[in-house]
Amino acid sequence: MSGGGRRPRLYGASAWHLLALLGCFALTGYAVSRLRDDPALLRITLWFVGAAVVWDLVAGPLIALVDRLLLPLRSRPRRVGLLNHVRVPALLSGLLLVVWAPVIFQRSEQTFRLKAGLDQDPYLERWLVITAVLFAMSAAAYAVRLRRAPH
Amino acid sequence: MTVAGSAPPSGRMRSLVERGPGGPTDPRSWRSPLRGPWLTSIFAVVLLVGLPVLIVTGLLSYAAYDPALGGSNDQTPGAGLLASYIWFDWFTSPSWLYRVNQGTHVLLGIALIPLVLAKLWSVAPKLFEWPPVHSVAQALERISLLLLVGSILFLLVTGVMNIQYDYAWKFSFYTGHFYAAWVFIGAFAAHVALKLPTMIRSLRGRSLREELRTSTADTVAEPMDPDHLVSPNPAEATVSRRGALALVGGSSLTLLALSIGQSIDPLRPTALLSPRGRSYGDGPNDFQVNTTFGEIGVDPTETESSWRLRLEGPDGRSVTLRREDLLAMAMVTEELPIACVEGWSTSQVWTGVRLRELAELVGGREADSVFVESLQRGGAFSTMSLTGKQIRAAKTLLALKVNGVDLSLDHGFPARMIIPAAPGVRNTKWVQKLTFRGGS
Repeated sequence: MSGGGRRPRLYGASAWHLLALLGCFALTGYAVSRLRDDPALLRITLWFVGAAVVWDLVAGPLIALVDRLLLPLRSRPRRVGLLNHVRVPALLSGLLLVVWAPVIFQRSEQTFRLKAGLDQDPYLERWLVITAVLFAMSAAAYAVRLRRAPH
Repeated sequence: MTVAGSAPPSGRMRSLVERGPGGPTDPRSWRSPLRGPWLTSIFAVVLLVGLPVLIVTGLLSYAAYDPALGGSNDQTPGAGLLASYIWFDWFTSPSWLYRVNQGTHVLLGIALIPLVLAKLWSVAPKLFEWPPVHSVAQALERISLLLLVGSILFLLVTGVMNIQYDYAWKFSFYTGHFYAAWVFIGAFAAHVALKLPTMIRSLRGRSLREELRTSTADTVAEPMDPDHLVSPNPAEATVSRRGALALVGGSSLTLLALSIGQSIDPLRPTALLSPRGRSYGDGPNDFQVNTTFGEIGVDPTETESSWRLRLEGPDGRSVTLRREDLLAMAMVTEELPIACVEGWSTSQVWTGVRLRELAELVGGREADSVFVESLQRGGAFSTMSLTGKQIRAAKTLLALKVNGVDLSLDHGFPARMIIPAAPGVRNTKWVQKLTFRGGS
């Protein structure tokens, strides 16, 4: 560590810092205490911690890895880059897939049929069409850039 | 690695402790030239506006059930002090209040997903910072950040799954979403309190207008910052900050554009991926259903001519009415929305009897509450209470017809409640008994 790492004081920050954090922990503690006899507490905790772990240690690194694999598509001198024309539609399509995964994969069809009287047949096809439109728009934009680029 | 083969083991050990095991703990492995306090603060300032709106609309939605009435109205009866902010009965006007509140909560929640993920991406190197702990203060702050990140992701995941009827978590949505929201409120408030000055300073450090004019070729890393967000080893930019902001904002708008139709009738077909973008047809009863009679165990024979509505007054007086008796009373027609906690809504024209007229028949006009019972067997909302304010509201109806025709069985035939400004589940279907309580 090059300087600034260790502070002389015992705590390492201002009293205000400690106060804000104690307030946060007190509220969490109270919320947990209200649930202590509820069998749901364990499941809620698992999903709570699971959500953070899956994003930070699985989804985030995975996205970074895929993005790194696309790097050869970036622009070079005298060449229009394809990279962002793949990145943008892929990211939008992936985001829609993650957000609407339950209906796209018909995970909740039985419940939905009982509740709303409807099936979940159209969603996978709709997502595929949206994805195709996104990539087509991006390809069109790429074609325009290629034509305009100086040779 | 700078550790030479000739270094003594103790030196190697010291190096591991000081520099970390490498990989993501090595700051040089984070290559994006975009990461830095300015970009993080841009995402932060949008969230600083958006997340409090989610908090307020969420707390209001809980209040809209009038949990003080107990029973099905209170899905989190153990809330204790966490429910103490509700000192008022829920409002009955304007009639679109809950529709707008809940539409905002759900649509904004969906639209903020890209912002939350972008913000987390921008601070990802901090998660792997080495050494992981260098003071008590920092250790505590890291715990609060786990609460912050865990709760916001939990709220987004449970919310997004709930509006799609995927209950894989196997706990009550109300319980999970409510308590996690309070954890989030505390962690968010602490984070803002500690980081607001940094955010303001970082935003002042660069001009937004300047960034919006900077091309990818001219994009370079921000100056090194004390919080170690900026890469010490930046790669060449493949996208400008302008491009990154456009991507995140565009993602939000895409999600919003593909969802907003679930809350606005004429736009419904545009909600392509939402379960509430579907049409049922063109008939008067062809609008969104959230509990079919088949699901909830309503026996259709009980809704036929043998059906009776039983009214009970606070003093024990009771009246029994046939559907014809109700149709002979003063009929009122109102356009009112059905607005679900799931965020979707639809406005329809209802015809029926004012609840206060029914209350009058059994001396319950000044009642404190009415306990509504359905023919449905089971389900979390087979009974529901309404406040005195809702009893007396001119637009609160026991509806018999919708859009000029009898209610369909799925929409609550022979009679259902329609309450202005209230959450969908409070509009009990297949009503069979109303018990007025309290008052004088």
